[in-house]
Amino acid sequence: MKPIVLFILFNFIFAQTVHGQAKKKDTSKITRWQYLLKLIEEEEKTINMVRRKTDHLLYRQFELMTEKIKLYKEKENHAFLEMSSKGKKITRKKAFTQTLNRYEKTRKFGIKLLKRYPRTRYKAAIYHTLALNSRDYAYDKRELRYLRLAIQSARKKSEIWYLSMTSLAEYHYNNKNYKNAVSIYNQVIDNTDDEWHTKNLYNYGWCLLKTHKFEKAITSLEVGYKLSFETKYIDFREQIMQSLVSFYVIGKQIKRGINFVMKYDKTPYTALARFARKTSEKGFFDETEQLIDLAQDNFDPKEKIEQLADLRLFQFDFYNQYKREKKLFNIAKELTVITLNDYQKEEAIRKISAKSRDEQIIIKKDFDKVSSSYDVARLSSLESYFEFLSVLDVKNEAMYRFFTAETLYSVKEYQRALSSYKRALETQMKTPSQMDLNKKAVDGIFSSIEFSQFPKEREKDELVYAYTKFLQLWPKEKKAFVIHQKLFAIYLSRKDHKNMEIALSALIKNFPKKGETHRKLFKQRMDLAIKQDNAYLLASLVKTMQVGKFGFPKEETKKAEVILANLLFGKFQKLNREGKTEEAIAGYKQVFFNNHYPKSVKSEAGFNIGILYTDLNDSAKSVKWFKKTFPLFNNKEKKIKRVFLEKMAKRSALLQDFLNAAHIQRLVLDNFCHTKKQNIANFQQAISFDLANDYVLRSLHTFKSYKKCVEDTTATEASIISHLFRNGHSGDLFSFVEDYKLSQKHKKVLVDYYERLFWKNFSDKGSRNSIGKYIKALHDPELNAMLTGVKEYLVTKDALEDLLESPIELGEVFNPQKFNVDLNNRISQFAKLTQRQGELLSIGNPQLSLFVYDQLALSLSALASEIRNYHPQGVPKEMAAQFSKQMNIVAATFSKQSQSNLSSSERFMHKYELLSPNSRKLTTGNGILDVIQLRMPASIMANTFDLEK
Amino acid sequence: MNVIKSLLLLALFSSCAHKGLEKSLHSSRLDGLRHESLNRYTNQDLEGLKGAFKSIALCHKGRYNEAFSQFKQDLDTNQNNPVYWNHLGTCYYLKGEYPKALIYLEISMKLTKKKKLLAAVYNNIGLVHLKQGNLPEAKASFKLSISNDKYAKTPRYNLAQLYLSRTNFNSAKQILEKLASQKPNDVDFNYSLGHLYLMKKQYIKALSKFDRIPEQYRKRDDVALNLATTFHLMGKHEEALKTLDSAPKTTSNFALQQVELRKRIEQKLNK
Repeated sequence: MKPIVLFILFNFIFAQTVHGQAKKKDTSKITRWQYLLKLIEEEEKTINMVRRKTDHLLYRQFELMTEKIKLYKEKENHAFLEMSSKGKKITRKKAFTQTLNRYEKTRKFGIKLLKRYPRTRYKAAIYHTLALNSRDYAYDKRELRYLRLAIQSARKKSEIWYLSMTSLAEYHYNNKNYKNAVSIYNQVIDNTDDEWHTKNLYNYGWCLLKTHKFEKAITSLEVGYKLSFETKYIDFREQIMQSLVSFYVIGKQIKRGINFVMKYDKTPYTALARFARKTSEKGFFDETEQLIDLAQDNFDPKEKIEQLADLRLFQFDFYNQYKREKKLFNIAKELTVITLNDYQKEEAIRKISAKSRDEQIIIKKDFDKVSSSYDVARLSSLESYFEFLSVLDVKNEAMYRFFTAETLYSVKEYQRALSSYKRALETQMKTPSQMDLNKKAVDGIFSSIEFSQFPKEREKDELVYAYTKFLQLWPKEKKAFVIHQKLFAIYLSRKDHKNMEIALSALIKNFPKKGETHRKLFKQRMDLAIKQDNAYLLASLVKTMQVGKFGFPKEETKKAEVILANLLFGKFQKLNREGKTEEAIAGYKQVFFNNHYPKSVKSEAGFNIGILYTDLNDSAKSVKWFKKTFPLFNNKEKKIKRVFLEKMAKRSALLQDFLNAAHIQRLVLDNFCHTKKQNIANFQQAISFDLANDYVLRSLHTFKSYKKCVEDTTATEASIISHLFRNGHSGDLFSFVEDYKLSQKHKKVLVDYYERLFWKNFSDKGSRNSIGKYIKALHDPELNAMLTGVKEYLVTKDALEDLLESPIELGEVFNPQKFNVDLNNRISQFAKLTQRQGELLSIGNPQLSLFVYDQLALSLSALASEIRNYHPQGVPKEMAAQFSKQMNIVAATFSKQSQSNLSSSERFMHKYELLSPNSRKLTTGNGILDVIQLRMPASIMANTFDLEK
Repeated sequence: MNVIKSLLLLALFSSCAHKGLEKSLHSSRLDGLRHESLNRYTNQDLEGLKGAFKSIALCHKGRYNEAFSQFKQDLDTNQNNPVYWNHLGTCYYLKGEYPKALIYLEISMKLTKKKKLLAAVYNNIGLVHLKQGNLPEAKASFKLSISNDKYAKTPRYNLAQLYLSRTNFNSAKQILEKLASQKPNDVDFNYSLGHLYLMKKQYIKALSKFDRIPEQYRKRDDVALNLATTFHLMGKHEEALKTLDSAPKTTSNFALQQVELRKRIEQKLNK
């Protein structure tokens, strides 16, 4: 017995050690395993050293072999588990090869031992070991036989007999031969020395239960439970209580059970909870509730939180099973607030999810499609369950929201469904759930919007949301192309420029090759800006076009610039029409100085300022602005503006502002000097407008500076020459002709002008000589002849005057002969001179001829007067009278000739409609008239012709 | 003494020179060019003008700034109106800005299709040339004016004045006598003929013309000078002096000549 006990103890210790070892890491177990193996083998070796082994030694060897089996079983089991965990499949036979071999070997050894020593004292023990080996290692169904043999071999009531009997009872129990097991247990159950008595009572109890001996079964377990308190027994309380609660329920002795648990279980919660589960399974509602209440009052303080959660989870199933909806709901709600560990949380989620699914199905089934009616309360509960799930399973909150939405949608609660879909989507986007529901949620949103029948604006709001989310998630998907446009369309309908811009930018980013669509939308926005009269925005859009962002052709950009300008300028033009020109100018200036507007618009604004200043007759500012803005235009625009400027110049001239008109034409020439063929009118006007103000120096400067800008300056030269002559700028005329060597080019007109200037300034010798030089430069034969004639005229005139200034002196004593001679000589000289003068008439110059006639008339008249005034001194009266008579006759002849010349002069003038030069003194033959020089002032007397018919 | 008197008179005349010759006629019966020219309208007559003639009337009154302002305002509705441009050009002529006057008159000339209006424009162009001393151009313009409207009196009158000033008395006589026959009461027609006959030493004829002029206009400086000269040359020295005394002497040109004439008459009387 002792060896057996020792053996058993050794085994136990060994097992515990091995088991304890098993807890350590693999490397230390193997080491430990090897060590143990080594011990065994060493002992075997020692035994084998004995040649003649007794049954004792052989039995010991048998025990060692049994231990080895255990070792190998552990090793191979470990390997088997490892392979299984890696997914490698292997049969048990292959996995435990060494174990089985060693088992067989040990079995044979044992049998051999028995054969060799048939009456050995170890016989029962050997059979018992063989039975346990068969049970634990081989599964070769030899256990029963060996146990029976062990029992047969053992002395009744011996330890080995007891052990074999209990093993046999266990065998029957395990093989569900409960009756046999009971029968065996009845024989051994009274053995209270066995530390395993509590276990035996446990098994016994089970067998009794299985044989429907509930009372005895309960009692057996109760005894076992109580005995477990004692240290000499194995503590089987946990297992017993686990089964006991079932026994109470099966045996319908719940109250007894409650009492027992409350009496004996120091921490009754576990038992009560289990009890409650059992009563619940068996349909004891009230009892279960009672147990729940008790359990609730008996939490283990160290595990209260966990136990509470477990209890609630159980209650959930309980109420669900018994259809106590309200209580179920409350439990579900409570689960969201109490603390749950991971497993409990999973359980809660699973349970509530299952409940939710069931509710969903019911709602869907009960939904009346005709009347669209459903169980409102159920739906409300379901929504709450999804809420609870959201709380419990935060990472899948989106999914639950989605389920809520789906449920609402299924009962046609579209608006509510929409809210839920939105929440689901929002949540999903922040915290993605296990379910990929973006697409589904978005589809749900679209569908809900469609069916919700919102008022228009509200619908737009929702669509904006839906489109935005869609694009956020799938910006480049095929459908997104249309969505982008739809979103844009909504913003367009709302005149929301800010968002239109964002929408369009997004479209461009995601569909960069769809230029035509980009432009289409951009134009829609632009059209809106135009409709809204929003010039500032339109300016931004035009700038965008100009930088080429949308690939608009230049013509379209230009068109947009024109529209912008019209929009901007429309109000200014209105102000101008209302007479508020200064305000209009201020408005244009604001545009010009604002860099927000495109260059073309700014330059148009500046140009318009110039035009307005023209209307205000502010030449300086007008030209200043034209000069400022003209360089801002491109070449094509400049050409268009040129036409405008030319019109402005014309307008200025018509508005009597020739200064401004001239400035403008010079501006045109400054910018278009290279277009010589087109510049002639500009050149002519630039000069003629300055000449209109009689700004001679300026116009000459203009001529000098800009003549390079035209091909032919002939016409302009002619205009300048005419102006200089007609306005009395003879000095400038001569200089101009000299500087540009125009004598021959404009000879015809210069011949006339120079001659007229000559006669106009005839009385001043210096001017006459100076003009004479310019006349000679013309190389005109007629004018040269005139100059020669004038020279001769002046010489003969002086000679005549000299002659007339020295009359005959009669002296104190009159000498008639001498007087006659002197008189004749004098008359001869006079006649020669007058003849020379008379010859000048053949030159044919009208003005010279007039002077000649005048001179002849004057001279003849003077001579006649002289002759008439000769009165001799110291002669008799008669002689004096006779002398006077003769002299009068002579004088009369000359007077007559003088008159004749006057008449000829008059006839000459009348015949050729001559206009005598300014320098021609009146010669009437009348002293008073010739002195007073009475002339009609034609320029004063002449009248305007105003009253046209 | 006489020298001092002359100098004093000269100073007086110089100060009054700006006034010019007062040509206005207070009776339309005395104005043979009434229906063509505003030159001899009184201010009262000019005030009564309206519509298209308002601006030109202002010019004749010397209110040029007002007139030009009005012209500017009326531009847009009158850009193609030759009458407008004729008036504007005439206005600048009256103001003395001859280059501008010519520019606008030429615009009118190019725009007008009516011969009668063209006659008016040519006449006014002639005036500009006449003022600038460009006599051949003035003569040509007056002749063009006459050729476009042979019944118009103003250009013929102006041409006669040109001839007179240039001592082409025979050419002037032909025109003036015809004008006088059409409008025998016109002051300046009679005055011009009186001057012409005076210059041709036909004093009786000259006097007969001066006598047709009403008393108030005979006192005009230029008329008085010519009349006094006629009296003097006819030996009616006292009457000559009386005529000179009645003259206002506001026009410097004539005033100086009046001084000279007075001197001669007094010399003669002293003799």
